Amino acid sequence: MAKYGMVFDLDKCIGCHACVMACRAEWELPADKSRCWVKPIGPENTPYGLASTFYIGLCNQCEEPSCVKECPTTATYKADNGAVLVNKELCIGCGNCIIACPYGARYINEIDKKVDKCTFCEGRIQRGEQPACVKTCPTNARIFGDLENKNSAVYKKVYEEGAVPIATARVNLHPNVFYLGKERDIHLIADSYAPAKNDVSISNQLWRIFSPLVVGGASASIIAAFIAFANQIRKGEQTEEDE
Amino acid sequence: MRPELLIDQYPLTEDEKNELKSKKIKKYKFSIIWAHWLNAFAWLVLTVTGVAIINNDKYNLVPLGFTQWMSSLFSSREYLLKFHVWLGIFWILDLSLYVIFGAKRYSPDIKSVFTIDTDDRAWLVSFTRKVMGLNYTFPPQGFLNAGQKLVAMAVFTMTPVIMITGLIMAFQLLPPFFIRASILIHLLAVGAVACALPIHIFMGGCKAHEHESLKSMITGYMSEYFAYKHNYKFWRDVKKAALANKRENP
Ligand code: HEM
Repeated sequence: MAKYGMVFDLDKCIGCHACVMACRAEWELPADKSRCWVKPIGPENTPYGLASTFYIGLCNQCEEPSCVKECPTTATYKADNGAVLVNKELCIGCGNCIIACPYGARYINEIDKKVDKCTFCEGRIQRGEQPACVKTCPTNARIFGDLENKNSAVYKKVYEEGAVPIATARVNLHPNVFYLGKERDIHLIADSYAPAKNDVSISNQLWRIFSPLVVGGASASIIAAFIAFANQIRKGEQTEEDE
Repeated sequence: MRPELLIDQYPLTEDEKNELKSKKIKKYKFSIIWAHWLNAFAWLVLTVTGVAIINNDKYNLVPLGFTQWMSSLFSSREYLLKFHVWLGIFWILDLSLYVIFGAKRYSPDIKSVFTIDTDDRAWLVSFTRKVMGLNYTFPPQGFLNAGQKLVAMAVFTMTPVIMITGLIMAFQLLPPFFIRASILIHLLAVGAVACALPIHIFMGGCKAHEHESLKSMITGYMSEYFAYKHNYKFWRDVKKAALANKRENP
């Protein structure tokens, strides 16, 4: 089984948004939503000089996805091919994963009211095609492939040309999406869009506190009922007069 | 029968005991019996399927093995969730009929469930003393004793909460914040009732006393003797009403 990843070559991106349009068209998304984004940033000073680039992004399909941990129904899961997917039949649209994702890669699709995100174009890749955004990119700024295949372009970009993920020492979920380009541009993106601390919703935090209480209370009640029943059997059936 | 029996719960003579034991008093109508058992069935199945639904490494109520077993029983986790939702809807529809057609008829009964009087308070104290092995005497009780009232209160208040939060989660009726809140509130509401249910099932289903209580929830009738002992004020009111009726329509 392949383990898919993607590399963005920042030097090639011209900010045309064709990838965003292709994504929207491929997945028939609401007009204001897309599973990937292109955000112009800069010009700004960085330690490596003046930088100006596009922050191209999509779900990082992290190795240790924080979203998966926060999904109460396990609708969100890590597929064998490395993509993080949402099983819409199990998703109840609670948005705990949206809060947990430090990259803002998830949103509620207003059409089905469930969570939506990049799947690396599941379906297309199963048919051996490239994801829609990759296929559409006129400058080949997006490179998609198998990170475990030494002959693949992504493998070379990551392990030979030194493409890097956007992560920090504090928040490193081991993304499978990498950036290649001038040091100053990567620095600007990493600085401006550093992954925020992956959050746990208040309701999920409270759930962790209350669920043991509920389980404990119900179990105590079951035990009390059993003890009472055992006592009744031990003492034999009491008649009304004994009461 | 001595007239003073209609004034207070006096100890019975052997003859009176035998007379009351041979007579039956109607406690539950068929519609209530039907509602109770359908509700009980729905509760038991909804609880076992419900606890299996939420299960990942961090959030769970039962061991993963139980979830896997339930999922295989329903062929997959998706079908387990679907079954839970559709049984829930069936439960809501069934009980809604009672609200639609019975709201007027049953509202005095519901009101009395929510009234805890001096006797009820005394009953709760006696019950606690009994559980602690101290000496106790039970005051006369009405249609339901105070313990049953507490169960009924929990059931009546939590049921709509469980239904509404369930619908919000199942059909994404409100924005995500409320869906998240619903997950928590659903758990707490079910939990409040689930803490009382095992005791209720023991008291109603397993407790001896010739199973008069259980019989009343199956046939609608219990022995007058049992009613006199356990639901004296209810027994007295039925008797008084019967006497008044006899006087008016001799
Ligand atoms: C198999 C399990 C159950 C058994 C054997 C059982 C048995 C009984 C019996 C015998 C009564 C009549 C008590 C009396 O009038 O003396 C009763 C009443 C009642 N039951 Fe159940 N029950 C069961 C499950 C449930 C469940 C799951 C619920 C609700 C969640 C419930 C709610 C009630 C309520 C509200 C009453 C009326 C008053 C009270 O006793 O609190 N029961 N039950």
